[in-house]
Amino acid sequence: MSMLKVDGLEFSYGDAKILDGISFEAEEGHIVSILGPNGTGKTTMLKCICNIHRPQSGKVFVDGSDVFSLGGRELAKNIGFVPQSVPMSRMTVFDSVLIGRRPYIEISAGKQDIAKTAEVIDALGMSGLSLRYLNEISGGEYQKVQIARALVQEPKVLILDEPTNNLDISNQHTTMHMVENIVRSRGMTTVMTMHDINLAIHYSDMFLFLKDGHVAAYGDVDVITGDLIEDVYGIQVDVIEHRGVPFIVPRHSSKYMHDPPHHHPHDVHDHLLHEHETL
Amino acid sequence: MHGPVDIPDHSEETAEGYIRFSRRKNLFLVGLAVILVALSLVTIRLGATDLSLGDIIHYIFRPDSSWESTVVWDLRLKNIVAALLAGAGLGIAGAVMQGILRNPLASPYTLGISNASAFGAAVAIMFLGGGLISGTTTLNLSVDNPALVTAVAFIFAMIATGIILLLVKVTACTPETMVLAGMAINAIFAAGLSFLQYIADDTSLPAIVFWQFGALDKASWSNLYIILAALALVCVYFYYKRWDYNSMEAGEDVARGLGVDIKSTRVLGLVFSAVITAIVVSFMGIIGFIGLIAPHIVKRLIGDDFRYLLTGSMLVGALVLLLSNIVGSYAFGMSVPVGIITSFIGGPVFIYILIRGYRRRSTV
Repeated sequence: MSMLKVDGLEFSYGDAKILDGISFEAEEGHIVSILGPNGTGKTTMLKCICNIHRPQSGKVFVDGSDVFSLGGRELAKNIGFVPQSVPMSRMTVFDSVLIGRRPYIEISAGKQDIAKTAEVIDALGMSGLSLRYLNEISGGEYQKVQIARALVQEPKVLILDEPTNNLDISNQHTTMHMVENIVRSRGMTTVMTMHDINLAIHYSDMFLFLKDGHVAAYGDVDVITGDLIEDVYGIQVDVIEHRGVPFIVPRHSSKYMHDPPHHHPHDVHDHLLHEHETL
Repeated sequence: MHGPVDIPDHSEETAEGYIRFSRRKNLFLVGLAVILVALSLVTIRLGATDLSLGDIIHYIFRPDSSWESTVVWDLRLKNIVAALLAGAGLGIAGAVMQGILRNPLASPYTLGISNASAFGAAVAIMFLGGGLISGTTTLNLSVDNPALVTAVAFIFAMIATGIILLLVKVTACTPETMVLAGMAINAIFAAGLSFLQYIADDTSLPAIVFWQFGALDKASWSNLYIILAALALVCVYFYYKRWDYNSMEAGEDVARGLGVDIKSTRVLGLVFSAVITAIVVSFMGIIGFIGLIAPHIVKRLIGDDFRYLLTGSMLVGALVLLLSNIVGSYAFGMSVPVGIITSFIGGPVFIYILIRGYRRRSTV
């Protein structure tokens, strides 16, 4: 049974149509990556799913209940959202994560709220930092705090807007590894936007490609082909296999233009390449 | 609910560490309260009439018609209570405004609410017959019809808040537009006030000028009861909303995702902050910058957490105002209204925050 069902989302800013009939379903415990070029409506789509933007038409169901008819607290118990950038404040790591318990707190934070917060902070390997102020920790740690806040919310669906933005390669993988660990053990359905397709392939079960506000493709890893990438991003790539995992390699890069072309297992024909610069 | 199995569990230690840390913050607030009580005791002994602490305590609990009793109750104790209430009210209003507008420069004074009430008072003095001055020396000066002047000042403070809210509604609800709107309102009412002063006659002018200087002794006991009642009501609301304010510290999207109704939280927070400011300013005149300084001092010391920030801002607001009052009363050989002192302290602090704010923004 699908945990998240998005049905025919349409969203416009004035006359500009951003989302045009977005529909997909995601199963419990699955990680879905939303991929597509800049400005194609990925973030808008996530915000529509969270009811931060109200779409002109379409519905979103979490575990069978209509998200748009839920009150603020109930919605927050169903969907946790981590935006792309979060303003800095002078709060400790622990306090900042504890805020995620807001939907459950009636008057003041109880023992259970504190215990759950401590548990998530610990699971993300940040126990030693819990009493530091946010402006005293690194960018990677800051990003983990944002994710931790959504995790203590204990939502059924977790929405991450570019969770690995601004992180170095090591932090990208440790962060994603921890997210994967926790969401899988807790059965949270996760939807995240990603720029790095290869990183997405490592950690996702399903892939949704957005192009000009509509779904260009949705499916498991087999959906990712050179043709699809060219259609969505307007750039030619080779899909090679590296240790049994597909790996996307752009066909040209100016630095190696004059080098003899490399022959990859999937790239048996050397085409005369045309530049499609749509980005 | 269970955590991943491959990581050793330190979460109990983390939770205990946090509880100890929270206790320290509470202790800090208790410490502030103790300092405040001590400072109040020091203040109550200051004055021309020589009274021992024993005498003072005697008159507090057994007031009579003697001069000493009047000094204790109607001069010293009243001023201290006025400082505590006005400081607490302006402090908490500033903390909430800075939080809901996500702007470190927001305060009752910078949003133009104080100037709007001063303008209202001037209108009442000049055109509505509140302006006859009783008393012949400047020390003894008082406005003839304080109830009317106060009421009109309060109405104008609420008008300023209404204009800010209306502008914000027209231009969508961003913190920047709110603060800019406040600055514009500040400028308009300041100009209006200057104009009224320019055209005022000999009797109105001193009354207008006198009214503007924020001074603690202007408020009567019945005024103070009104401030206390308003402060209590507003505090209940602010404390109830403290988790929403904390959520907004993480930005609008996070707060919305946590189920906070941003618009109503912002509008109601601003209205309640304006109410408490208007009441204080109406009874005591313009006491600038307390609402700006107090939350900043607390944030520097114990952070942005509204569970502690609200109480801390009230305590520090009261402390700063009480100290300013001592400085104003005794440092210059004559009694200088406390509003002048707070502006002297507040101006440089404002510039400091401005510079620091920009530096921080450029490094993140």
